[in-house]
Amino acid sequence: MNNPPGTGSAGGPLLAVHELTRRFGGLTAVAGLDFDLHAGEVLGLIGPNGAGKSTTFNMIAGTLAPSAGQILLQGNSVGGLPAHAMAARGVLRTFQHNCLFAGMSLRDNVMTGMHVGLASNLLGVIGGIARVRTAETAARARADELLAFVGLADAREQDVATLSFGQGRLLETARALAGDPKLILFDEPAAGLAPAECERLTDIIEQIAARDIGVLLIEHDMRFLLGIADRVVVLDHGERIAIGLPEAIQRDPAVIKAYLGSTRGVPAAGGTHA
Amino acid sequence: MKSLLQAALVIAILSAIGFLLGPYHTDIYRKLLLWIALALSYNFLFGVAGQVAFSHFTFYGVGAYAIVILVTQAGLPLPLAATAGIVLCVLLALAVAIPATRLDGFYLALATLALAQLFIVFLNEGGELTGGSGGLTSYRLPDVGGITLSGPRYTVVIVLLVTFTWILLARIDQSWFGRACRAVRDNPQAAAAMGIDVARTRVIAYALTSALAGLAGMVYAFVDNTVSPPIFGLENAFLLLFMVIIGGSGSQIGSVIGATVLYLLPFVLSPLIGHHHALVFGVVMLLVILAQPRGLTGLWAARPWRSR
Ligand SMILES: Nc1ncnc2c1ncn2[C@@H]1O[C@H](COP(=O)(O)OP(=O)(O)OP(=O)(O)O)[C@@H](O)[C@H]1O
Ligand SMILES: [Mg+2]
Repeated sequence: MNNPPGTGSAGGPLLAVHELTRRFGGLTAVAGLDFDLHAGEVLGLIGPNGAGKSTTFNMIAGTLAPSAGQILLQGNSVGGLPAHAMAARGVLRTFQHNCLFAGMSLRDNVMTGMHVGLASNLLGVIGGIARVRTAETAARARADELLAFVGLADAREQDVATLSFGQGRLLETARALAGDPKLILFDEPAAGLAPAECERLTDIIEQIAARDIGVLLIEHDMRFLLGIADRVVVLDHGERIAIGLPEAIQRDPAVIKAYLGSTRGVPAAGGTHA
Repeated sequence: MKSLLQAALVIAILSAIGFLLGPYHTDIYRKLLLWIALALSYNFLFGVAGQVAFSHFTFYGVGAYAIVILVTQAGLPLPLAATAGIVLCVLLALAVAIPATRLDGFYLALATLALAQLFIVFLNEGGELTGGSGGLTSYRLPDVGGITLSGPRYTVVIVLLVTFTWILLARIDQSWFGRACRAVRDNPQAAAAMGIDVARTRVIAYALTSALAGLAGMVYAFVDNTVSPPIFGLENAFLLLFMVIIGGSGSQIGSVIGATVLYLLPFVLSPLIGHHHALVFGVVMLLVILAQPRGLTGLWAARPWRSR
């Protein structure tokens, strides 16, 4: 099912990871992971605590370098590139615990997400040339559009300190969209959200995927994930124990043993934190 | 267009003041303007980019000494000397910032403290080149295009420096680069996830503001027509930090207010309470920081009688 390296042009996967491995000293957090993700697809990544989900995510986002293996974005090897370079290539993310820029308005937060598109020669900025000013005006209008898309238009001038956790999550989504993503990574987007906010986010993620953007989703909330994911990858102890359609995953004995056997949302023995 | 007119008006008013003052007040006025220029660029470095650096006065000194040495000892024409001075500041800034910004912000503070101390040692031990502890004296500004820039005319040069610094920094602050600097200051990890090259942004902000400090130093060199080591020491570097904090770090108007208040305070206070002004200074400083971390501009924004 995986394409060999270098064949990810039209029709090939947007993202492919091969034998992706990350070791922390003696501990292998991710061990030879394989999966791919197509444009417009929502891929869920689940597994008990300590399964290696965040580590996988961080390697794709460029926050952690892989110990071994490959990450291919549209067929190009991008493993080990730093986070800002991954963002420049269209891989954008939200954070598990909101990471907003304090002391900035909502609009400025979203405009910061447009950095790659806006960055130009500083001499042009200092000289106040027309091209820089038009780009800035266009960026501002686009930021307002994105804020309207996530339902925060009314608050656009406010300081981010005024937002609730759920609103912050939506703002992070708008900020990630501002970077013109090919692939968006969501780290537990539903955690801490009220049911109504959860529904709103599901709706937004579906619309994002409908724009042909790939979505990789780490999630603990199975109900949320099964309703939205096209396919699901299940990790346990750094290894892929299942991949497939959500319904099939739910019935997979290995998955039930590792993860779903216990009460929903509470991971199986082995990784439970106090 | 509107902003150009505004700038012209400000330049005209500030210059006109220069023509009205006598020698004593001219000196105070010029130094106030220089403090404002320095506070503006330091505000960008400390307040906007969030870098705790103590080298701003060092670059002020590098600019001042460089232009004097290049003009009087190397015999370079003024424009060439000025360009070389800026290049020197940028190179020195890169040499400090590139290694320091790879590390935690704490190391930038340490590295710049070391640089500041080294620079003073270099000035004192520099022999003929720097004039040692007595510094360099008895030189004057060469004529520029056949015009002797002295008296109020030189005050106009300083006014132009301040307005140039203001406009340049305001434009940058309101651009993608200003947002990137604030983002890096607030949350480097999230900034990187937005595609911002954190190290590069820090280095550029440091080099840019250091070059502006160097430029101000070049202008300063011909204010007293003497440069000597004590001016460029750490004491003034800390005063600059206080100016930015008191005014409200991150705010350009705050820097102007902070520089004005702290520079003029001793002139107002010492006739009243003699040398105790240092004490008053410290207490005011403490009160402002405790009452309002965003300084005087923050105090103004949060004024209780404000109608909403
Ligand atoms: N920086 C690190 N240094 C050492 N060990 C780490 C580091 N980051 C993660 N680990 C270990 O790697 C393993 C996988 O961690 P990871 O955070 O990827 O799991 P996860 O699936 O995201 O779990 P959770 O559901 O709790 O977020 C864990 O055993 C963890 O302790
Ligand atoms: Mg995790």
